[in-house]
This record gives sequence, structure tokens and C-alpha cells, in this order.
Amino acid sequence: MAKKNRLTVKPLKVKLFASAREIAGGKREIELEFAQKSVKIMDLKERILHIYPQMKCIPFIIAVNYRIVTDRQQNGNLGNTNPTTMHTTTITTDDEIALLPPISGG
Amino acid sequence: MIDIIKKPIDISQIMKDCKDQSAGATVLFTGSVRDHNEKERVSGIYYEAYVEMAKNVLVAIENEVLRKWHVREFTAIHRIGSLKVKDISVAVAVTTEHRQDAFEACKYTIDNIKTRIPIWKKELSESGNATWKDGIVPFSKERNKSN
Repeated sequence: MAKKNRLTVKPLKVKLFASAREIAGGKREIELEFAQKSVKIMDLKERILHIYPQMKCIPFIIAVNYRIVTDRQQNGNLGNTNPTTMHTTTITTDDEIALLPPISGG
Repeated sequence: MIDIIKKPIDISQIMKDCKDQSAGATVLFTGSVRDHNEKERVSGIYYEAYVEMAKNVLVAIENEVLRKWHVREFTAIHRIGSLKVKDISVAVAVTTEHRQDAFEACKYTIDNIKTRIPIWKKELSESGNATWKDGIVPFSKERNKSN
């Protein structure tokens, strides 16, 4: 019997913090499967909200490799470089992805 | 020096590390846990951080400060974990030749820590409630409700 030529894509891992972690039942990390290796941030966000609709209450942002991905181009600088936009950024399983609720340090 | 730590912040050690014979001014800011918020008595705060990113952003802030002011010594430390009322949660110390630079650089640092560092706090009230504090969405300059 011929082997099925199946494409296996590793799941994307997303780190969760604070209120977002609690909404996800205390999970510090979730894994999301996509058919393709490269995923747009917008699609990631949509998937997260589909699985956890309660997260619509949190105006969370996404960080990729410690850099904030914003809804729109802005001049701010959270880390070393300017933030990238949600519409153009794509991610892969090699990236470190984190979901950040509004911050409240200090 | 920047850090995110779980143990208590040692202010006397920070002040020792700030000494520089060519500097005439050190400004030290500490933030600590209040015993109340707008509505009720507070017994403590639990701080959580995305540690790797928080350190990354602290380094970015330190580099900005070093570019903007003539700073001799710089320290910014944030504590995480469970803190009680009066415990110090954050400390910033800036040593410069003259006081104006030290005041400005210290204010810049704590302002940016509060708006850019991925740290979250859960307030524990004396009545037993535990709630994540409304915070700031980075870049939006808007708060999620009031804080």
C-alpha cells in the first residue's frame, strides 16, 4: 500500500500571561494547529478569539520574538526596534509568540 | 544594571553600586505596595512578568537613557511574585554629574517602565478579592478602563 504523502506542520505555541492565562484555564502556553507553516498575526488572533471568546474583553496585543505587533504603524518603541504591523507580519513555529494583556507594572 | 527578581530589592546595595566619584547627584525612586486602592483595602499584590521580554525592554530603556543624558550609573529593578503592603516593587537609581539630569532620567525610566514593561499585577484585597489591575495597552496610551 502506498504511503499517504501527509504534510505535517508543527503547532504554533503561544505563551499566555495574567488574565489571558486564567481565561485559558491556567495554561501558560497553548498550541494552535494551522494547515500552513507561515501564519498571519491577524489569523492567529482570530483563532485565539474563536477558541477563547472571553478574550474579546481583553484588549490584548501579540509579541513576536519580544517585539510588539501593533494594529497600525506607530512610532513607539517597546523594545529595541519599532513595532511591526499585524497585517503584514507572519509567524512560524520558530518564532516565540506571546499574548500580552494590558500591562500594569510599577 | 537592570533586573527582574523575586527576592526583596536591596536599596542599600543599589545606593552602594551608584557611587561614582565624578558624579554629584543620585536620584532614587522606589515604588511600593499601597494598602488601598480607590475602592477597598489592599493586603498585597502578586506581580507576574514575561521575564525575557521585560529584561529586553529594560535594556532598551537603559540605552535610551544613556543616549539622552550623561549618566554615570544606572539601575532599574522590578520585583515579581507575592508582595505585601509596604514591600518595594520597583526601584530606579540614576547617578549623574548634576541633579537635573538625574531627576529627568529617573522620571523617564519609571514612566517608561510603567507603560512598556510586560508585567501584570493582581491586587489582593483584605475582603478576599483577587483581581488583575486594569492596565495600559502599549503604544495606545490608553488604559483598559481606569487605573
